[in-house]
Amino acid sequence: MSTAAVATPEPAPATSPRAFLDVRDLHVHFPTEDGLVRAVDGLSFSVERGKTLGIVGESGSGKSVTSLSILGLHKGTRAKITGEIWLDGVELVGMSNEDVRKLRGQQMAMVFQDPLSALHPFYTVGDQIIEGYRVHNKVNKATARKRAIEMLERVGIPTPNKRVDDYPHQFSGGMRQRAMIALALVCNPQLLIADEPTTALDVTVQAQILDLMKDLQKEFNSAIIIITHDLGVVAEVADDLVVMYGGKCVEDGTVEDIFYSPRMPYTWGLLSSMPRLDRLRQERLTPIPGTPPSLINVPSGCAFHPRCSYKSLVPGETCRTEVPQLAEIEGGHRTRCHLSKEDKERIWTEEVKPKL
Amino acid sequence: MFRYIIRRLIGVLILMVVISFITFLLFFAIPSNPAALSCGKGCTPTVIKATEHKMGIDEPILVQYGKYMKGLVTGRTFGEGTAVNKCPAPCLGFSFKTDQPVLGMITDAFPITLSISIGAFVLWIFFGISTGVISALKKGTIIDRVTMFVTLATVSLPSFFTGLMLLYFIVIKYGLMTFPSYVGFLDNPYDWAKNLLLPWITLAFLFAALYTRLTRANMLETMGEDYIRTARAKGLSERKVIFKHGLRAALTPIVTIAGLDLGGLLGGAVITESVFNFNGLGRLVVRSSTDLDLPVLVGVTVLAAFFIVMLNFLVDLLYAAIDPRVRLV
Amino acid sequence: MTTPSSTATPEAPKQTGDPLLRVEGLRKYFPIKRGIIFQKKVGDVKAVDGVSFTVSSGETLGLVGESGCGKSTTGRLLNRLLEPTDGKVFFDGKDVSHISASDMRPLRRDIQMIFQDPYSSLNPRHNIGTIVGAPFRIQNIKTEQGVKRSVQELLERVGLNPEHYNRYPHEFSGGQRQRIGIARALALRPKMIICDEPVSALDVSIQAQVINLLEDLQNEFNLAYIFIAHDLSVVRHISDRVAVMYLGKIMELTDRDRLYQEPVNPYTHSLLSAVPVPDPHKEGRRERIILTGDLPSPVNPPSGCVFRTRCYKAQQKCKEEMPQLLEVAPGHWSACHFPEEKQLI
Ligand SMILES: Nc1ncnc2c1ncn2[C@@H]1O[C@H](COP(=O)(O)OP(=O)(O)OP(=O)(O)O)[C@@H](O)[C@H]1O
Ligand SMILES: Nc1ncnc2c1ncn2[C@@H]1O[C@H](COP(=O)(O)OP(=O)(O)O)[C@@H](O)[C@H]1O
Ligand code: SF4
Ligand code: SF4
Ligand SMILES: [Mg+2]
Ligand SMILES: [Mg+2]
Repeated sequence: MSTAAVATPEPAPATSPRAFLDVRDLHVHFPTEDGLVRAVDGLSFSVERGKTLGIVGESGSGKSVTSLSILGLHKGTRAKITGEIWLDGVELVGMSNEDVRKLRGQQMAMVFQDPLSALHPFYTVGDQIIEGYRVHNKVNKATARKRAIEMLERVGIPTPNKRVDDYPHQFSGGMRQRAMIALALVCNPQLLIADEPTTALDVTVQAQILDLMKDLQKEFNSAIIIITHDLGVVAEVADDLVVMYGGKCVEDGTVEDIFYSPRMPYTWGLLSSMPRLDRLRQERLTPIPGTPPSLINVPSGCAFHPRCSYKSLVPGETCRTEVPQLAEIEGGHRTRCHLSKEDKERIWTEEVKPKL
Repeated sequence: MFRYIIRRLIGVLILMVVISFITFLLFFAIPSNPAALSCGKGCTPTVIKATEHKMGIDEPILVQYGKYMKGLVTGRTFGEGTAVNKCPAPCLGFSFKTDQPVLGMITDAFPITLSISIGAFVLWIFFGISTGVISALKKGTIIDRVTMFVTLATVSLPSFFTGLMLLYFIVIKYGLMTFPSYVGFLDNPYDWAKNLLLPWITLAFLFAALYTRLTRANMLETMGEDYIRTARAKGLSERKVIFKHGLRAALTPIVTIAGLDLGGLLGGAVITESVFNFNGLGRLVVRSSTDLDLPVLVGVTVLAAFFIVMLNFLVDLLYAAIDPRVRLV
Repeated sequence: MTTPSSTATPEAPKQTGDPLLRVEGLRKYFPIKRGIIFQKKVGDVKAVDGVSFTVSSGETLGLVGESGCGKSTTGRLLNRLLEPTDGKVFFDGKDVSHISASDMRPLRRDIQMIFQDPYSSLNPRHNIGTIVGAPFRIQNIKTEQGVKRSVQELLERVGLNPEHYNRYPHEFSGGQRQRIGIARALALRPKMIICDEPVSALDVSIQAQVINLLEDLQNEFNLAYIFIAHDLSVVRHISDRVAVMYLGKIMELTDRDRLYQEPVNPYTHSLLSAVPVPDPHKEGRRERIILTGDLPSPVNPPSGCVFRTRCYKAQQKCKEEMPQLLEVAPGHWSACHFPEEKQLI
């Protein structure tokens, strides 16, 4: 493990954070009976206020673990976290649990996938929002309740002064997710992490929720991280994108970079395996062969090599033996792949793009 | 809500009639003849006939049941002529064995059983739940492993063994206490508690172990729920997360089980009563079944069933009060 | 009884006569009961409310709609896991809507089902051989080469290693489990498979593998599919015709290309416009119909047109009169008083 980097801070320019949220070389490992789970393995990204970062990847690629680490929810568990997480100039990995707790809900908040199980079944929606507000604001119940109603109204719950006293099971799926968003935003956090916020919802409701999130971002100028496996969702809301595979970032850049000039076989695989409504129907889908890797036995070299159909273009056994570095293609667009720059460009324009 | 309660109470009533009828059938269908048993050796058929008549068991079973139910409501008179035995309103008949009114026997025995059960209940709920919660929060530590081992051992100890060991060491060997005998609560609350302490411990011991394991399992499950993660993500202190969000959900299923366990005990804590020689309902049942004392058996069985059914009903009400998703309709 | 290994001859012409499955005015109401001892009915969940369609051999009918609109219930009515409240189901020319349990056996052979959750739909205590071979045992069928051999052939056909015969479900990934479910459904050479969200729980890369497998099997065995899903892109890819459901009713039913290019029903329009497309530039420019509010309860569906509470075109007539599912163009059915004319995409 590269703990040295944490112990001895690098020269000044590298440690002074540039972005509002700056995650650097994050590793999250879980020792288990079956072996060490390398859930996140050297992940770096940054988000500015007013911007949205999308994180995509298959299940088990480490997306949720990343978001929980930012919130410090792995503190006090057996998880081993190294690296740096800078939020507004403050480093979170080395901070005490109690100090991070004070930031949770206040500076950074989270929306979860399944809004029914994420809300406590025994407390009213209002009580749960009020509680979240009063942890960080010294106000009386009545003021907090006013604030809760205001938030419910803001996220589009009809007759909020009545619905505030409803229990989560009395809400529909879309309303629950709205309530969850109201709960997350009640203290005006500057960072909102949404982990698959619309996966459990119908497309019609998904469209409502994504719309709401865009509006709220304009209003509060917060930084948003949206985690999903749906490329359509990130295309709609994100400015920048991180593609994860096997606990690592394999490609990152702006959404334009990744949707219009992806330079990495896994991203190509993702784009060509999904049927899309905005193109003519393909006769046949092009799946990625094989299955996602186990994070206990991550394949050697490039984690994607067992499923990659372009590895023969890389001389020798490099793909199998050497972990590729996340290298810049141009202007902030980076990929983690041994293919030469020319090959990447050629394969995309000649082989992959025409078939989409 | 009010209509629900009324409907449930009517349901309870109907259920009690059914249970009493089945009990009646079962016990009165026993082949051996209580009249023959009660008149001893050298009995003549005429004496048996007369006894049967006096006991009221010479009639068809439906008629007997009808009279029994009528007796419950209006009272009943047994025998004829000079040997009349009046039995006022909630009449459960007379014991075949002692000729005492069954109702009186039950009202004598019941406070004892009630005292044992309630005290033990309080003890086991308190200790069971608190150790269960601690064990769950310290999962995998030495505290947790010791607790799990001890409770596993305890669950497999029969309560007569625990009771006898307590008696042997505390009363006989070290003389820390005199042999417990029941004292009414109203007579002397201090003596009441002092005398009941050993039975309470005996009974609570087994249940506390069960409840520890149950609480631990529930608590572990709850602490893994998504809403606990949400509570943490809000920035709540760990204390609030555990006690306000975790415990409440973890304890809900325990309410049901606790209610049923208590209901079961109110019908007689047979082993504990026997070990400590307390004349509660449990011993009453044991005694009357060896004596084939049918009226007593029916009376106690119906009463025990009543407690179980009533507590079931109370548990449902309580559950609805705790869990807003449960609607009483 | 024929041996299950006999397959349809490849040059068999596509049937033009009776469709394999014909459904007419199918209804399923689940009664809502109140009371402890004396239950009385206080209402109905109108899960499926007058649904009609046909499916031919070798064809895929897609069934889409928001959750709770009655897709799965329709599926379960077709293979008689549920008894219809009203309406008729003809399978292979035979009325099977109310057949008795004993007549159900051949039906159970011919109509199979694949479920969404690859984790809970396989018994964790049975090995793969037992799971895939169960249909043979239940239907008491002896195969030529013995059950084990047949099962191994099936496993191979769905892309699993035949040596996995003795393994247990937990040793497989989600995609592999879905293949096991498919092998089980294929065992008795059914004529139709009802696929209830078969790829919803899978990752995109695996999803494409399973969809391709389903398509190959369809060509090979001339299977009819009823493909239930909420993902409109997947449904477009796999279906020949698509039915759009809302609150227990079919709103629009037509060929895949027509439905996605020139839908006439406002609900189809709203649904299609809500799908985010993976193209950041187009995303910004697309006009989007955002439906307000939630799906009404199927216990009290709105009067007239069921969609009127959320429809952007709703007018007085929609409240008063229920639109019938009418053929607006050959093979294009829609239930709406005020059809859309403009093209989509
Ligand atoms: N507490 C834990 N202990 C051990 N392993 C863990 C723990 N939490 C997560 N993991 C493992 O870390 C890996 C990444 O998990 P994560 O939940 O981040 O995946 P994901 O990308 O969010 O997938 P999904 O889309 O299914 O939610 C998985 O292999 C998971 O099993
Ligand atoms: N056994 C049942 N009892 C009562 N209501 C049911 C039952 N099964 C389904 N429903 C209701 O029927 C409607 C349609 O359900 P379903 O077909 O499962 O929807 P989906 O389109 O998500 O598959 C829903 O409102 C559902 O709650
Ligand atoms: S490094 Fe090699 S194996 Fe990995 S994606 Fe690139 S070409 Fe494929
Ligand atoms: S009938 Fe009216 S409410 Fe229904 S879809 Fe057509 S326009 Fe909308
Ligand atoms: Mg996740
Ligand atoms: Mg369904």
